Amino acid sequence: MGYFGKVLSGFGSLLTGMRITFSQFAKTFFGRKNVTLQYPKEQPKLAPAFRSAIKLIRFEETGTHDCVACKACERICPSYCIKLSGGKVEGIKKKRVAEFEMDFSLCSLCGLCIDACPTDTLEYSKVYEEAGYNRDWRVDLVAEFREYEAEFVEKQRVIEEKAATAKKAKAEAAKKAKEAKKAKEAEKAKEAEAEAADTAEKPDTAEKPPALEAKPAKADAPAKAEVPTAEVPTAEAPKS
Amino acid sequence: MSYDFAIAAVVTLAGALLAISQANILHAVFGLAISLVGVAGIFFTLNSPFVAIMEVLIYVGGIAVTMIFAVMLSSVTNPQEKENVGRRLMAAVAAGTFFVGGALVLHHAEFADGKELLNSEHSLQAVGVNLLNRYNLAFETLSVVLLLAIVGAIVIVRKEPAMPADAEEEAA
Amino acid sequence: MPETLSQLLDDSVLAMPIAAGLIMGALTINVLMLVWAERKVSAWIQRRMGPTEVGPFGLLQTLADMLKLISKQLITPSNVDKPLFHLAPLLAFAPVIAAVALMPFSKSLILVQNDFGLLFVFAFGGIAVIAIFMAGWGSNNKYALLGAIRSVAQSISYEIPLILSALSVVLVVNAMGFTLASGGSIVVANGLDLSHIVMAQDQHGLWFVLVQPIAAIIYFISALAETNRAPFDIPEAESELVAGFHTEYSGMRFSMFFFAEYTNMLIVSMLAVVLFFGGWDGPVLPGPLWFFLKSYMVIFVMMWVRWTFPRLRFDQLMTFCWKVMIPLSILNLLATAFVVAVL
Repeated sequence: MGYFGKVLSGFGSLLTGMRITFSQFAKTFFGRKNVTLQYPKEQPKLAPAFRSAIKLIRFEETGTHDCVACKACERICPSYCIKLSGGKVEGIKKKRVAEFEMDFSLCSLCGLCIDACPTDTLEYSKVYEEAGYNRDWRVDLVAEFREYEAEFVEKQRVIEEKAATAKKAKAEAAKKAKEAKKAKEAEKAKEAEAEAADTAEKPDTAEKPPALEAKPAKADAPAKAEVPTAEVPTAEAPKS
Repeated sequence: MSYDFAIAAVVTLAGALLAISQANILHAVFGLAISLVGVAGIFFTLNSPFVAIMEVLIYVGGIAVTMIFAVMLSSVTNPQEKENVGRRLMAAVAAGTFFVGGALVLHHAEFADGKELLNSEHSLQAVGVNLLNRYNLAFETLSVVLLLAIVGAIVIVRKEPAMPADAEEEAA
Repeated sequence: MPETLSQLLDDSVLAMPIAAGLIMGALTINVLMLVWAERKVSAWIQRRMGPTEVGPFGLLQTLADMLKLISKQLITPSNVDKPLFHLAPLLAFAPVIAAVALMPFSKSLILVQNDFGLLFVFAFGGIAVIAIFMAGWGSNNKYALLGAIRSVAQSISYEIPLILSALSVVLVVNAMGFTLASGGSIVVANGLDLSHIVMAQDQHGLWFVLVQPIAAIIYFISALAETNRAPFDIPEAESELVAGFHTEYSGMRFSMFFFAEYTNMLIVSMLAVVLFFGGWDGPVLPGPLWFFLKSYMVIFVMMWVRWTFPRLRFDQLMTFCWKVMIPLSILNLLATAFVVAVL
């Protein structure tokens, strides 16, 4: 390649460069596709796995979180940024969290707390425009759930009561069934005893026990469906 | 004498005064440039725009710029030392003699009728034809002188290390 | 109906101020639009959006910038060479306006008709060079001085291929000649007259970019260097020289240099349109519109080039000019002269 060959190839490379810039120009000018995000006017689309400060999940079924103040997150946190308190609540069996203090300035977003949570009520929030005037980033995560707490407790109480009555009924039914069985056996024994003597009202008593057993079974079904409410929504929880 | 000639003449004289009165050499060169623009204006009023343009293009755009370049690179812009009176006197006498001689030559020279020249078509073409026919020898001699100047400038600069770009400026 | 606008205005005493005011107003709008366009083009090339906030499509952004510049304090640094420092912006500003007045916007819209319009444009460029020198020297700043020296060295070097490439077009025009539409008589064309250059192209239906492609390329490259634009923006190389010769200028003085720079762009591209792209020649649309359309297309290419190529080194720049551009343009001129003489 001689001198003029070099000149020509150099000219060609210049044209190539200009072609590239023009294609970019055309993409923005004609295609109206630019990479700029007009930030305050447009919000960025965050990735599904975007990590920001943790938050408590609000389940649709209960309208609130499902934190039972087990402190698994507090124990596992490597940067000691979670402090929570809570416990027994008047009227219900379930324990509830009272305060969930999270210090975002310490958090390293490792996500161990999310993995550790037994009720799966923690997840990453999508808050990305945090700014403040000092370094105090302690936030009470339960704060937004407080107003629903009484309602939840009431609901939970009803559920637990129902469950309790259902259980009672079941227990009673079981007891009755047992008694019936005993009675039956006793009767059988009696019958066997009395077989030799004579034959009395046998078909009437034989039909009674299954009818008694069917009742508690029906009452048990709704109670069972409501107990695992906390587990059902976790599958589709990360939706905000 | 029209008012535009007056303006051009005033600019020329003002520039010339600046050129000789300023202690700062660079100011003097800028004064010279102003004076040359004024001269171009005078040519304009005399209905020879081509010469006027050439005055600006060559003297202002070329020679004055080259002079400024030379002054800037020589780093002697504000000489404080006083020159002795004898040398000044000699310079004055030389300049005066040149001026008087030039004036005498102009006074005795026979010019063609100005009006005839103004009305002639394609005076620029006539200049070109005359330059390359009748005055060819003078034209070529000037070219050789200029070429010598360029070669000389390059030779002078080449003795010192570096700065080839400046030699090229001289050539320009 | 007077043939040219200058004839119309010749009768009036106010002709000069009116014409000057018109040109300056038009040029101010042009500069505002050009700065906006530059920002938009650069943004689009880099997949950004450019100014969008002030006015529709951000059109008024530069107007806001200009108002800011006007209202800013004029700082005169201590130890500057005051007369030169103050005079330089004005001197950079004035010839630029004068050069625009010479452009033939259409067959009848020529502000100043002159037989040597082409040379005038180049001569005014020479005065602007002095202004740059004054600014650089007067600022008493090493960056300004270095920037001025580079700028002037570059300007006067690239003026040579610029003029030589324009001269080869002049030769072609002189050889072709044309007939004036009115009389039908053959006029010996004057290649130095800008409107004659356009008329020759108009009548032969042939843009000179096809006749003189090498001259067109040389002209375009030299014009980029002449206006100190990338990739030849070495005088203002911000990574080395802050801002070049206008480092010390602020407020309106700075904006005058800015004005001169962008108007220079317009002049150079207008001249390119006159020399190579047939001036006002074009179908359907009126002449001046075609003229400006073509000029702005050339300016767009200049912007496109600016946002594509990296800056050259100074020695590369000078070597390129003296060892490539000038010999090439002289060869082109000689070849043109030969062909013209033979035909």
